[in-house]
Amino acid sequence: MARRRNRIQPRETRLDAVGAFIGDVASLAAEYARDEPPPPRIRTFSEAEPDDLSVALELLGRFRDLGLVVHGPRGCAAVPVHGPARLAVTDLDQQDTVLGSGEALAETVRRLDATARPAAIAVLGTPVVAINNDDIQATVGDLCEELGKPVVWVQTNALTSRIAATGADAAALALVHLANPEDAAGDLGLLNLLVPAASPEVDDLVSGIEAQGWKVNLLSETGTVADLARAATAAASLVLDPDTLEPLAAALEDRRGVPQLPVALPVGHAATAALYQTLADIAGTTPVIPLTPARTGAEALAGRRIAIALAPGWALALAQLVEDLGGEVVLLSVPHIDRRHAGALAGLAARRAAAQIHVGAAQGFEHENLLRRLAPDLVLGDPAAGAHALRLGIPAAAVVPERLIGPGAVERLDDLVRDALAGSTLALRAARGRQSPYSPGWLRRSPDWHVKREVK
Amino acid sequence: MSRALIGPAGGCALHGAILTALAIDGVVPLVHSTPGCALRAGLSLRGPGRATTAPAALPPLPSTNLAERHVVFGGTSRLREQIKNTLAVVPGRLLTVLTGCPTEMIGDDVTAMVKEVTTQGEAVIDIATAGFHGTARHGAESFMTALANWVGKLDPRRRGTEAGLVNLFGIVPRVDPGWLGNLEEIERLLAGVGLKVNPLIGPSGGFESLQALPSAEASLVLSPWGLGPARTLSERFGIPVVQAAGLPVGADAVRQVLDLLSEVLGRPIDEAGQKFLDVEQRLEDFVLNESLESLVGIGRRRFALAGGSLVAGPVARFLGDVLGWSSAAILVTDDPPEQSFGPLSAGLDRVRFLSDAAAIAEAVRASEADVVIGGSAERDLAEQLRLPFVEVFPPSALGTLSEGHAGARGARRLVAAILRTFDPEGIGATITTRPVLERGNETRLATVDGVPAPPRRIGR
Ligand code: SF4
Repeated sequence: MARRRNRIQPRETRLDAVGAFIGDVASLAAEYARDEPPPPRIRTFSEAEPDDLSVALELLGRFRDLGLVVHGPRGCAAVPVHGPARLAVTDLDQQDTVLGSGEALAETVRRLDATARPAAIAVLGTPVVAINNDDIQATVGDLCEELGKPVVWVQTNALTSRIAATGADAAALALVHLANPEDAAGDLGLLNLLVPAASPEVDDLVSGIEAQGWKVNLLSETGTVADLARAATAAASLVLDPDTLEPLAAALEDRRGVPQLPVALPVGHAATAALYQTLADIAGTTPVIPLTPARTGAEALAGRRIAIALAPGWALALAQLVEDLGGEVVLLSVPHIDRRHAGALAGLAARRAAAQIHVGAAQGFEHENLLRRLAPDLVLGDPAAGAHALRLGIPAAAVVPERLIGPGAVERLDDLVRDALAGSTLALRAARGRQSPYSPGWLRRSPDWHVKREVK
Repeated sequence: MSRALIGPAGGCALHGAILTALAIDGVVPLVHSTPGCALRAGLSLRGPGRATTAPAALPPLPSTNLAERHVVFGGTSRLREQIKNTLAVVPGRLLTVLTGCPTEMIGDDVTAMVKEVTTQGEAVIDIATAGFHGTARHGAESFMTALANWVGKLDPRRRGTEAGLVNLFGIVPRVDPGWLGNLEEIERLLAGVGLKVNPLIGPSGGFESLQALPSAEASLVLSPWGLGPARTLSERFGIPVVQAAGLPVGADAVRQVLDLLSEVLGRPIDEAGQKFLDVEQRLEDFVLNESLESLVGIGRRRFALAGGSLVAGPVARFLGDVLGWSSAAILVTDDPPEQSFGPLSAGLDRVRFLSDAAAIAEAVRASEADVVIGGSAERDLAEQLRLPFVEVFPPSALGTLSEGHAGARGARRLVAAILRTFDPEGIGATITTRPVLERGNETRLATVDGVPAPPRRIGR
């Protein structure tokens, strides 16, 4: 139920997050090794960035019976979710921005409750109501009692943080209020598995975990509010989506006493076997370890210069894998970096100090400039980054984290790399006759030209 | 006043302005707002789960991404810096500064910032496109109107007309399903009678097309969202406005629009043009002839249809006037201005203007329709109601790649979609009466003689 709670701290404050940096990995790792946080940096030119609201909406949208109300004008709700009938917006107009809109919010929540019958409702703030100073919390508190179901406030506003991942923190804080076990007893054999999305590899991992004597409460893009309540009764949580779901696991630990398992992402045979061993040790069972795959090497990566563009947790895990398999990471492009990544960053810096790191969400002008200079053999990462690479004639493979999970990760990555290199005609075709959308003047400039230290 | 809107689709005014700007080669949008506002314009182009990266299909989208301190102390200095750097980083011939809700609320003097650079000879304009002004289509219209005004000021004396050139307005890029396919088909149809479309958007549009707006002989408006720019050009240059009753779906509708155009231009369609239209008519006749057996088997349907004002009425007219079907509900879902309700519903029964997903669902439910026609939202509804579903409006993500429904070719696609739903095997005689949902999204179809057909998947 809604009750007074702490204000969300921006990632910049809570975890010394950085959203603008271009340089070598060693320099950024050194900034995190100092006592004080890295200096704040801004851009003097920028392309459209994501905000906390979109990230929170996307994360909350994974819970299929959760109603979503965006309190703002209609465009703030323009984030695709599964089952749009459970998404509503107060659709504020210009007059509302002057007169306030508390009653509009209450009306919208009531209407969504009546039409979609969700298990609970999350109300997300927007910059418009933040500027207006609308009191969402009070309205939400009243509605909880009126509707007899949880209505939670998601503290998004697109203003206080430049790091969109702060939206995952805001969503986590709201979700943990729904992770209310009521009177249910703790279940010592239950493990929460927080994954980015379903995949055959996730299914296999669930079976593998069950083989160690555990039951699994899977929190993925088909989760429900009941799964959240069950999560509060679990013995532990395992996070395979560190960039989005780690805050939820952390909130479950802080507020519900469900600890996170401090294990590496189960990427590849050794890491998966280590996870199973840990789980069997905790359960007091004999570990059931998968057989070593027939093919354990990944020759396709050997000697290749690789650029990676993914969310930071998975980007760093993939970088390590690429280096282990004989590839050379030349560029890591991530939307942000924070103190939780400092260890992995330092590890990469020790192996490949001169590798470049580009920190910036959706900043295509910098990304293109860097790719042109570094000319990697291959780009691995999200499909949008892959499309940009193809336009420059660089082969690319989409790497989806949920498919890299488990003992066969090395083989899957090897296959991806082989396929991308074998299908490089698409890159040649995409690059044919293409004119860059950026000016030659910009492309000649140093890629970090528009990243400046912020003068307070 | 605000209203509770369930299942909001299509974004805000800012998003429509952005998507329109990005569809005109040489025009660069610069969004002056907080982070998220600009990026959300592109999110409807793909499915759930990718809210943090910019869709690669879109050109660069500069944005000031204002921080909290800018909202507190004003964001004009940040805007000044961003304008200067955008001119250096993103080449273009016209920079359009688009404001979001936050910057209009805090009252940044955007016009003053723009003036600073225009006095130095740069082509820059500012347009008030805050999301709270309305829908994406509304924003697209405001944007086009601002462009028409700008060209008007740039070149106040009309330097003569280009014979046969027709401005085309009312198709909203990446918002209207099949926008590019429809645009290309309209271009082809007008070319068939010796006219040339000045499309502004898409691969054949661009900055030259923008400059050519005052040279057109007429402006053809296909939806209420094209009236603003057409009227501006009419007021400034006397260019006549030809308002069609939506996208011309089917050969008859094409002929009506072209007759109207030729009347306004004062030039009858010549023999070659008539021949071209005859071929279009024969194509439609041929398609109908091929499908008659199936259409007889399907029988006269009572349809509920939901779609935007560009297509809802025209598709419904084709179904009624050509196939003889009856409308149980025609739901126009894009919030057109009230003044356009009359023209949009002309000749149609049971038209309602609803944009709320719950209200649309209720209207379809209450309509007693026996088939639902629309896009992906209506597909889910049809599944719930256990009614056959004809998908004619593809999701936005595929909107650029799909063909649209203009002309006889569009009618052919419409008939094909109907047959895919009711008679996928093309066997005519075993047409279904009413599918019965058995489990999940698998249907078992009862045939007219009661013999069950094999199960098949519906929907995705
Ligand atoms: S509605 Fe306003 S605040 Fe929301 S995305 Fe659109 S411009 Fe931004």
